[in-house]
Amino acid sequence: MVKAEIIPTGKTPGLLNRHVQGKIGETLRAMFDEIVNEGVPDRFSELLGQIESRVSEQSKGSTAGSEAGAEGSDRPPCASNGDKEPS
Amino acid sequence: MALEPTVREAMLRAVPGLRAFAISLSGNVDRADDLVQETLVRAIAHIDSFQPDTNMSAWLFTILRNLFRSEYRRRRREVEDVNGGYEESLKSPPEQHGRIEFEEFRAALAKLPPDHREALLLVGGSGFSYEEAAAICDCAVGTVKSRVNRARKRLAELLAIKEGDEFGPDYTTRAILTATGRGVG
Repeated sequence: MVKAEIIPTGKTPGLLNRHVQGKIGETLRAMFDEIVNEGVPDRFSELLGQIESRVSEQSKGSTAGSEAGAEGSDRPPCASNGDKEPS
Repeated sequence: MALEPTVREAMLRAVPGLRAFAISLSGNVDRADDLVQETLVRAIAHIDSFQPDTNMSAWLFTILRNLFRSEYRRRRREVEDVNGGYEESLKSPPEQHGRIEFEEFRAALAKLPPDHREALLLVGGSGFSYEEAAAICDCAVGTVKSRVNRARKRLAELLAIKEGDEFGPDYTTRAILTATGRGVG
């Protein structure tokens, strides 16, 4: 079905060139595969959650604080200017 | 407004591919990961402009590519070794097979003009079609084709010249022989 239509232009460099081209393609794919196989570093899945809450805080503006308090965590939400107790 | 779970998943799915592109583009893992991070930050901030029926991966690649270019323009004024820092920033120990081969290849990649390098990486590494790559690079399909061809030609020259003999053992074989300590005489 697939017809190989590669006709050398009559010079050896064409052949050598195709050989090297093949190697380049292989190396490139192998290089990418190696990195892709590392998967998603934790950094990015954690980051996504962090950005989401940051972006939603920005877009929600002043209402952002109410949700953070709902869980009753013993850690205060990120220090904002007004809330900090003077020490 | 949390992200739609499907959008979030699509973003995470794209991360490994984005990293591969960014590492090969910048030649530096830490810089690449910062690029990917900034890409995600921008993507989420502008998620409203993402069309749900389009390719998330291509959209993210476009953002990353534009970030890299503006950063590259900024950095050009500084003295920079585009390949510097790669080895030091490697997280995992080098694999037996191919490390030297990759090093040599990366060094050659770093010598390509950025336009040519990005086109080659998108098509030859990331597996985008010429049309997709053209959309990502915001240029004509013909331009991408010619950049990819020129990049391949230049790489072939660089890797062949390094052999010192254009009909000698190909660089891969040589690299593997060297890596396994058998030498090439």
